[in-house]
Amino acid sequence: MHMSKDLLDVCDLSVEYRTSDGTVKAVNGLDLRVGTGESVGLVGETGAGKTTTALTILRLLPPRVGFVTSGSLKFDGRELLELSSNEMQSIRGNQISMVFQNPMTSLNPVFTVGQQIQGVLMQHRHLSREEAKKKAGEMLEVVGIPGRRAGEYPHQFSGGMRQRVSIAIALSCNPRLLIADEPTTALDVTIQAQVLELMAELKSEFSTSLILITHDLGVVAENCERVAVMYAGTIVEGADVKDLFEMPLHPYTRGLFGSLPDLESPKSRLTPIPGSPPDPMGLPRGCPFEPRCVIKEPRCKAARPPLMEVSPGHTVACFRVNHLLNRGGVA
Amino acid sequence: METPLLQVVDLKKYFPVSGGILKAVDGVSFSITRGETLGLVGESGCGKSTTGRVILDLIPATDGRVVYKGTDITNSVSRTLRREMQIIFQDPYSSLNPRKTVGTIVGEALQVQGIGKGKERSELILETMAKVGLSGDYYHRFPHELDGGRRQRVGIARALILKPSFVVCDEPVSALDVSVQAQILNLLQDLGQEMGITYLFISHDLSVVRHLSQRVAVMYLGKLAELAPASELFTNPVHPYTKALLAAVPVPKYRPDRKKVILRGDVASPINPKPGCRFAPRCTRAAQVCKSEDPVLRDLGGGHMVACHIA
Repeated sequence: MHMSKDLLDVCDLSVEYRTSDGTVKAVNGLDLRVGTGESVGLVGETGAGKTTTALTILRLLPPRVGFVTSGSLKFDGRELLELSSNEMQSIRGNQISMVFQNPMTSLNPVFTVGQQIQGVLMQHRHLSREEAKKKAGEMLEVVGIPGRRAGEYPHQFSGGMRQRVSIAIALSCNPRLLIADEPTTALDVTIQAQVLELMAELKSEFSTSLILITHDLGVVAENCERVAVMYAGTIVEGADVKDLFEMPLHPYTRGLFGSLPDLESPKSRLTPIPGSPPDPMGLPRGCPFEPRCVIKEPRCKAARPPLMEVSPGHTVACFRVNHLLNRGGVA
Repeated sequence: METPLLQVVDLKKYFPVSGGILKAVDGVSFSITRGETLGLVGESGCGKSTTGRVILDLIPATDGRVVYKGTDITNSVSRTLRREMQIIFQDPYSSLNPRKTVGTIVGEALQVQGIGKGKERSELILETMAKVGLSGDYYHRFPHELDGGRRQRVGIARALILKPSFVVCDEPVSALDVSVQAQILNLLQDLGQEMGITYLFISHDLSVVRHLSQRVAVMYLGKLAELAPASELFTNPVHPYTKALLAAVPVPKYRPDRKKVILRGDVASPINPKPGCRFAPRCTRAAQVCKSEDPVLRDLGGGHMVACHIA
């Protein structure tokens, strides 16, 4: 189902890192839409450009190294790429906020967790110190941490609790968009379940839109409404979660499923994707997946396939899409 | 029944820390038959890696016994025996010496063991590299020039060059992306069959463990909670912790009606653990007896063992 209005509309975004070793093309013509209240999973392997996409939306690319070379980023109708840094500052942490993978490095070790939540509230909501302190305690309670622990430092909390603190900070200003970058990857599976449940509850309570960045297809299946699969800096397939998991089309998406061991009905053998992802310093001119693809044709080497809609809301970037549809058993 | 290749009897590993004793492994017993893969699963800090290292005598045991081919080898793995017992580590970034070439790393065990010379040695190295899918071109390369998957192949070649009969795999694919992970899992499976290797496969990833293991042991805070044939453990888990662990794994399938039973609380500290079942503080079914008495591992039949008072 599609929401009437997109909160975030990323169009043809390209980002590169200019380093002394060469230019890394991290994001290459990426399109991504997130509706109001919608949760979108951004999946892909290391180096696919997931985190770069997130950092670009927040305008947090490393200065003098990371450059946006094309595209637009519209948030609620405003072009984020044209905002001054002061204007961006008032959006970041307020209307768009982010939860990072490792709460031990994203929290400040020398401030108490209460102070860190307070800081955001004083900056964006212009609350007095006393008001902010009270609200910080409440936010901790919201994420399931007793408010009396506001005076403790990050190292006094377990990994799962620290990630709850990061979520409290991110949600304290009631943002319209939350970007969570591998929020549970550093956590054990039983703790991951707690944190994901908490995020789902808070998301529906505050009707926040969510971009959930992860390499774990299971996490996406259980926590997102839509999925975008990234490969070499671009979206190769996008669909509602039901379509993507029941009828994956792109050879890369299918390759991911073939690579996964099945917990419930074990396979005798896995079907890995041959080879490795392309070097972002020397991307192929054609389809970035062509070198590893099992159904490639000569034209795949010559040009890059655009994202094409094959059924309502299901897009695939592959020249052999008709072949894929026939094989998928769909009319 | 055939004598097991490896037996672990009441194995303990304690670390003195400020504030008491950290009981990383606290009375673990199991055996592995020849050619079998035993999976050892559990969350961070449960003692699974420590168990693997104590078995190989990389760190000394505090108490208990490790018996290999009928001989007690506890804390006394000789250089000759080391040829038969090897380990593959988790992180192919930190487990390879950055200043040595791939050829040197893979062949180091030959040098230590005094096997072969010159050309003979380099041929054996190239042969082993080919076996793990590494072209000879990488012989003179350094680890930083290789991607994660190839580095892990180097780690595997290094462990297998002596043709060991028993290999501990300590989270060998956790640092890898799924598409590469599948390549490495297939490789371990093929080499295991081809070379008749018995594996102790340590991982936190239940799907990976189910895929490779014939039997699976579940560890919680230094103790075994449950041990059963893989299909039995995953379809008919008995211990409340195993059940919770299985329920918590996100399944990559569209299943809007999947119900989640979410385990509350955090893992307790392994420092000076309280008496009774280690899982009792988080267990929804904990009774009075669970808080006072340690449950022992008992056989439910068919090799399905569980350590629980109420299951």
